[in-house]
Amino acid sequence: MTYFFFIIKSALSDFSRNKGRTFLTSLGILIGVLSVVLLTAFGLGLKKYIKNQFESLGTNVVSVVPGKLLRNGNFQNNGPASFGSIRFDEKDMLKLKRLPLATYVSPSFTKSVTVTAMGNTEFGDIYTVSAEIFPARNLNPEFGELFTVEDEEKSAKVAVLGPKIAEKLFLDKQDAVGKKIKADGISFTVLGVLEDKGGGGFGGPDFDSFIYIPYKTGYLYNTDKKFVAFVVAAEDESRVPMLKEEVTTELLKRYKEDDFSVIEATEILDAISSIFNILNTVLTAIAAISLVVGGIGIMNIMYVSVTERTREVGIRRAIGAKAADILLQFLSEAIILSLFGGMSGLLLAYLITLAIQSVFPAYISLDSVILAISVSTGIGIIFGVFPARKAANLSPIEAIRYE
Amino acid sequence: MTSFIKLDRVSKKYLLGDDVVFTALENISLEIKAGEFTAIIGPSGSGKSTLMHIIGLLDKFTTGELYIGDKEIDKLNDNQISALRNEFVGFVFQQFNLLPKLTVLENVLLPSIYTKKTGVNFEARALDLLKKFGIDSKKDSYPNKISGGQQQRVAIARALIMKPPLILADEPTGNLDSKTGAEIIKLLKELNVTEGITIIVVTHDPNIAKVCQRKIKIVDGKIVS
Repeated sequence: MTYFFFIIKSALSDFSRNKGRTFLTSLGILIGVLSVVLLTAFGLGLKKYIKNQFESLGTNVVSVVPGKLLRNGNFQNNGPASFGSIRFDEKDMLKLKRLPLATYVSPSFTKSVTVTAMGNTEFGDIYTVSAEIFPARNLNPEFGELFTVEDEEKSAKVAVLGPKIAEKLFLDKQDAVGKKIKADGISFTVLGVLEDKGGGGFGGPDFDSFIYIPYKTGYLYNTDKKFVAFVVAAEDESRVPMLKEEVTTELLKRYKEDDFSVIEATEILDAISSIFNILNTVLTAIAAISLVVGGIGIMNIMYVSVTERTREVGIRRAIGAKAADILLQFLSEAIILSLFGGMSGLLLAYLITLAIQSVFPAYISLDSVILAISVSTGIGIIFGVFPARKAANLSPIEAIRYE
Repeated sequence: MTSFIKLDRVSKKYLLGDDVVFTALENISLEIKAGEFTAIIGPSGSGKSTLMHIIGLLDKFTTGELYIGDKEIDKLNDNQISALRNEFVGFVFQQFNLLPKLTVLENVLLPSIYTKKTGVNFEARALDLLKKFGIDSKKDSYPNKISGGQQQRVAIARALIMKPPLILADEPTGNLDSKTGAEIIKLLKELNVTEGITIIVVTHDPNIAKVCQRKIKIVDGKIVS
């Protein structure tokens, strides 16, 4: 107990005598830990954000798209190229609807349009779907109501607006209900406005900005009556793998294996995650270089400190300190110095994530805290051991005579 | 009781150049008995400090044999020698050699952090020593805030904290005025008489040599008397 008290006191008093030097030395570690922790925090935050977004779209849903989108869990290099090979039609939809595990089935087709309402003109996306998309995607109206299967059968010119596009066109979302909008020259009556789902950005679909219209009405835009995708929902998440199999078996009767993909939200999520993981690892590795530079700074200053305190080493040896005691003393100082830098870096990273929380969902995990502590301790040990060994190997008599 | 310290033809040689050898000590044979107060005298450069450093296990000798108690020093490793320095020898230096960053009390306690001995209240012992030497009021001061005489008392207290049977003093009065120096010598003499501590003083001060029972004179690395 007293032993470590003396070691720590000795380290701290040396630091307080050389405040500027101590600060500059630990600054290297501070910057290193700060950049590693921040990059990890950004990566994790982004991953968490995307995960939440996918989960909000329903985990009991599979998407059917043309072409092979994923191969071995990763996005295909030539994926988009094979995208356009086939188009689904109403026949496919009826077959999918007959599948026992398919609770909800909706076709989809999107078209970018110019929308006008109340004199405002905006760019928007028409999303032609069946009424079953709403329960499948867990979409509920905030104002007004949703369109129904009857609207679909009648090819009624009705629309349900995502909250973002409703706000853009009407300023007050509530005002949209019952009003007319004009999309590429075709008029629709707004039946309702959906609840906020969040999301969009980072390449994900922005369900809050869509203009939902019945798919049969959508044939006005989609003149060859083909669809780019189906959304098929199972009763719950546990039945998704079986549903996937059913859908695949059914579609194989008509199409070749490479013509279409049946994918779960989690598969897309995994594919995106693996891209982020690689990116994050590379960035963190680059940031880690600054930790090594910081470590060299510590080594340098520890060599200076050993030389300055040669006489102290001699005195300690004369009164009975073993070489190992001297080694431990200087090693502890290097570790304390490095830990001080590491902890400051961690604290600063925490403050920064706190400050930008509202703009960016950065997130410091327990892992990165443990990493920061162990890495800075490790750097203290690795870069402190050589100067400490130099001190320990000093001859007692030469050290005590050193002026 | 046999010899407390025994040197048998101990030599210390330095290699100065490729073929230039400097002999600091040559074939020194010497026995010191427990409880003796010995002065090692001689002109500067005679090798008297080297002899003290060898007896104090700070320096290594080139040839010969050294026994401390019943231990043959050549057969000990660095850790055993360090432990012996810690428990067997107390050093008093001309330069005091206190650590400036530690308080008086912490300086006195410093040897005790390197011992394996447990169950000793070193702090009480340190305070006792400081009181005995009349500097207990300075226990929380730093060495640069007290006088030279006080610093040397702190150094002696530090030398005594482990209750070593041997004290080695290298010109202990060299940095002190004559009055303070005399007080330090008186203190050492007292320790020798009342506690029975063996003391070896390296000095060229004839006043110190006077109070010693035994004088060993060294010239050019050899004992001349």
